[in-house]
Amino acid sequence: MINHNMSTFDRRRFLTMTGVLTAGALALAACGTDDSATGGAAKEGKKVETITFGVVSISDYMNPLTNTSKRVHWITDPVVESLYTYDASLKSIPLLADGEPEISDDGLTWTIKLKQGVTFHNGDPLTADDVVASLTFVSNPKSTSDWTTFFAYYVKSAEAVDKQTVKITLTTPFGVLRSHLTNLPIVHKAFVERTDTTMGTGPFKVDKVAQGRQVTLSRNDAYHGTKPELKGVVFEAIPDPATRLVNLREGKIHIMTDVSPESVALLKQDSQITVHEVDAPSDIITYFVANKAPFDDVKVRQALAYAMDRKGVRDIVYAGTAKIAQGPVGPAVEGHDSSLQIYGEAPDYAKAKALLAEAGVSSLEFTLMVTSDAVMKNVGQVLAEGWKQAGITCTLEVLDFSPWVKNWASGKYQMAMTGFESGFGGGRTAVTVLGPMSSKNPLNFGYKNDEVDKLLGEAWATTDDAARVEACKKINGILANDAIMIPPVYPRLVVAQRKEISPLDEKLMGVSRVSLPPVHSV
Amino acid sequence: MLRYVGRRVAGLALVLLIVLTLVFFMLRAAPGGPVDAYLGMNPTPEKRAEVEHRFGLDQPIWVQYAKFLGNLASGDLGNSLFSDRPVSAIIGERLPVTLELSLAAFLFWVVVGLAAGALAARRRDSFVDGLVRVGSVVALSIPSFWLALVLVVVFGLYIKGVLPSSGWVPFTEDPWENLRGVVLPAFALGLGSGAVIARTLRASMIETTRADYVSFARAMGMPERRVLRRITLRNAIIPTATVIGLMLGVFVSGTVLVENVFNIPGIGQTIVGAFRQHDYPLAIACTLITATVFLVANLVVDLLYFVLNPRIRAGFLNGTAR
Amino acid sequence: MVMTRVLPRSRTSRLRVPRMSALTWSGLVLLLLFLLLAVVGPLVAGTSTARTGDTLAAPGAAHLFGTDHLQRDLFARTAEGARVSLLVAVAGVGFGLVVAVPAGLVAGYFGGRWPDDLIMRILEALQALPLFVFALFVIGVTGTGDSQIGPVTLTSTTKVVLLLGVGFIPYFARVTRSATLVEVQEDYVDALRVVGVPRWRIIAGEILVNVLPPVLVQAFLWIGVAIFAESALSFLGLGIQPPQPSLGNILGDATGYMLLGAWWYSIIPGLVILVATIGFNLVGDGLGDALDADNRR
Repeated sequence: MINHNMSTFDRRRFLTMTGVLTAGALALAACGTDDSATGGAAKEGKKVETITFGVVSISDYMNPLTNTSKRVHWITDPVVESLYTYDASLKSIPLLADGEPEISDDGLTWTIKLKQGVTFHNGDPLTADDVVASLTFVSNPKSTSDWTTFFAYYVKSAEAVDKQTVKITLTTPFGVLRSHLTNLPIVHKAFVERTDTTMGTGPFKVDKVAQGRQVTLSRNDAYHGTKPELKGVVFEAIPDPATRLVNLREGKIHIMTDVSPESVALLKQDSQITVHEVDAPSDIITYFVANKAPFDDVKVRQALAYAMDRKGVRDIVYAGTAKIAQGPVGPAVEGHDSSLQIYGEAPDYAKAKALLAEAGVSSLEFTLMVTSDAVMKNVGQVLAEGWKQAGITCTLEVLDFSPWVKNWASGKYQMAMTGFESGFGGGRTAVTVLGPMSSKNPLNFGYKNDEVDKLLGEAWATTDDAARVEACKKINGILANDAIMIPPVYPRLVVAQRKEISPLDEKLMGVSRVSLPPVHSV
Repeated sequence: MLRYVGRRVAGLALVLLIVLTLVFFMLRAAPGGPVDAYLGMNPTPEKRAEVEHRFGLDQPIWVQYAKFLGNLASGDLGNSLFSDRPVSAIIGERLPVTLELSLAAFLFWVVVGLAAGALAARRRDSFVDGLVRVGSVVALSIPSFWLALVLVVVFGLYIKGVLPSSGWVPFTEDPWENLRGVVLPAFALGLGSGAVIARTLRASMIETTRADYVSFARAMGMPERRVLRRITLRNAIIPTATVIGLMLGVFVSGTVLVENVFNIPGIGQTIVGAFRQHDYPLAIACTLITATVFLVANLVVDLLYFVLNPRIRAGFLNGTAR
Repeated sequence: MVMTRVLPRSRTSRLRVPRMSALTWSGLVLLLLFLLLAVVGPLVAGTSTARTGDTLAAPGAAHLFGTDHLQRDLFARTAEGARVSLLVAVAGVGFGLVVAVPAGLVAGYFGGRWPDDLIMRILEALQALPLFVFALFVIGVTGTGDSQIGPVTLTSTTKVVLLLGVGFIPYFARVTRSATLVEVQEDYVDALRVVGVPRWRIIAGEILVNVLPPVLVQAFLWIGVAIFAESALSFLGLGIQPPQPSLGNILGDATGYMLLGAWWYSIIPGLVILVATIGFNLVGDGLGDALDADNRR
């Protein structure tokens, strides 16, 4: 097993340092006005009725059907619901659907009955037409929606058989659809292409949208399930990480997403705050252009993988909160293989040099293109420094998201890396991570492996979850050996909350979700 | 005089057009466009074509430019590519916030800067003078983003309840909270400019005290206070006015840094987002606003010259000197 | 002495070593300290990207300035950063001067007529665009890495130099222009004109020589501003790119760690910026005073 703790020396240092700071902070706070227990958000009294989220940014377009990023879904998740949902053990159970889908023998027709008596926030009943509208939108390859990755070309059509029954026709057996239907939100048919707001059947409804800045939700009193205790939820964009941290500690916000790894230790010292560190589908994805020198040679890629300073990234960038990675599939995703042990924690420079010699490469120089967020910049610098020890010269190219995407999509890079959270779209499936490695996918950048192609076909076709997991596991192993996707670590989802509200469900965070109805004041 | 003003206003319009044209083409020449930002990790040729069409980017660039000019002439700035709302509505929400912040910073720091500068000049080479000179250089050397963060930390965690550490309450919602929220960002925003004002006023007052007419007034027995108020200050204010005018232009880039840290929903946050996402219409509208503010401030300063100093007027109108 | 040749011809005195005020002296000391760090520092310190094994260690015997969040020695980084920042600032100001001085000379010589108007409007247009818009464009078009334009390699450092230069052109040009406006009124210009000296020679020869000293003093002051401007660019991620340190990007990285108790991380590069700015300012002031005193003599 891999040792997940950071070295004791580092940890002690870090704690001492933060301890000193906290002691200083307490002393100063004592000189201030009052005990630091409560802040602005708790002003209205002991009982918290409206909770405030501090998030990095809020998307300009508020439509959960266009985008699978957390900038949209943290906010719309309490508003919209899916046909199926996750129970407390992350098993998928019916929500808007009335029971399991009826699948034809050839696996090409799925019939789903809808639950009776469910209404949208404007009072309209949920009908098959709404479900069809959502499904049709995401199945159209021309729709500007991230969800097309999961539905387009597989779903031929969706139609309403009657008011409460939906029939989905597929082009090929597609068992993983059951999982996708657990993630795809169903919105009111008139809101499918709206960008300014959305309407669903969930426990909260959209109250006020200040685009890109703040969204206010209020309780849906006509909710068909367990009614929430909270009266409302506010999402506030606070772009500066330090400001967000201060806001949480002073009580201006109750929940902070995107906690930077290095501030975890500090937050843990605060008696008012709980930090959740959860294995979730949050990946560092790595790409090579695999059909151009130097990375067309598997040995060169492997050399790079062996010389990769995974430990440095884990301990220095992630302050020990991440896990050492082997293949592309992380611990919260189907197909993760905890027994896989190819690359060591510390870099193996001798092996790397031997592999380079075998490949006939005397000096390896390449450019690593990373996105410009603080974490990726740090990851890039640590990796480059690590490779330098192996005599490999890695030049960093730090790009804003848009130019990064442009270069990446057009294959104008050698090695590319960025952080990516796939949980809202893919749930526990490895579709987003492994999908691009199909030789049919234009974003595979020259990687072709018949075995992977075959296994991918099997994985998405089967309705048997265990079989899919097994196939993905095999693919993960192949990709790790081929060193085609070599994330240094599996980062964890880190969310911090104040103790004035009941603890969030960490299990659900494992699929990037926060279940708000049970949240209450303590 | 009127002819001069007319010429300058026409010049201003021309400059604006040049600036907007520059930004128009610069944005389109930059790699990575709104389509990349919009599609993110899911680009397919079909979607790309679809979004390009929706954004109007599938047309030749000259057609886009002609359309842009046509819309501009009719006062239509278009819709934001990402939120699909009229750009004018977004600016309408954000601009007042930045203006309030800038105005607060402006008023406070102009007063402080002038007072410090005048005091230092009057007591030249005294302790106060040294304090102002060193203090102003120090103030100039403190990055606003760093100061802003220090203020957020100090007022958020240590001195609680005195002033809000961050965030923004609209004036219409709660005037008192709004004003309290302006204090810290305005302080951080204007510090450097206040220092420049103090230094400029000091330098030009010292310069004028050396002028012959000041010595003359003194020789004639005019009291020192009156010399200062009537002659020195009045003449020294001209270069200072230039600096004060330029200050408004500086505030635009200053708000970019300060608004981000204090989480204030002003034009500074919008402008960075618009350029980063390549939201062409919004970016151009932001440029239009900031450039206009700068150019108008510049024009006003130049016109002030006429009011304050008749000699320049004469020189300018016959086209020889400034 | 070289300086005498650039002195105004209409004034006959030589530049003497002026009596320096205490402030100028202290400015000189600060400036020398900064230069020492920027020039000698990188030679004695280790490489600025090497890891030491200590994350955010406080200043002490092992690490004079402590270490940063990626375990790098902050003395090495600050010294190298000071060198890079100084280089960028001097080169940026230099580039600004090369473009701005001719523009300002021409504008001033034709004060109030169309060439003046044209140049002034272009300068206004430049000024009306926030610097970071240019930055987003330049970095955007060419990327953050090195780029090859014909036979010329543009490193990310060169790009920052160009950016700062472009940002400074309007200011330098204005200073040059106003000095020229005054100079043109001098009798010797008329005299030369009457004798039939070509216009370009009057501008490039006589006027330039007389206008340059005050402009150079201004430029000197602006080196401090340039160091500062680079830090703002770096804070927005548009300045010197990692892992290359600059005072600005060290400070930019450091702000996030202020809350974590690593006070030295942001204070030290901040202090170095402060020392440099104050140094350049006070010495620049002193130079200005000396020039002034000389003019009045």
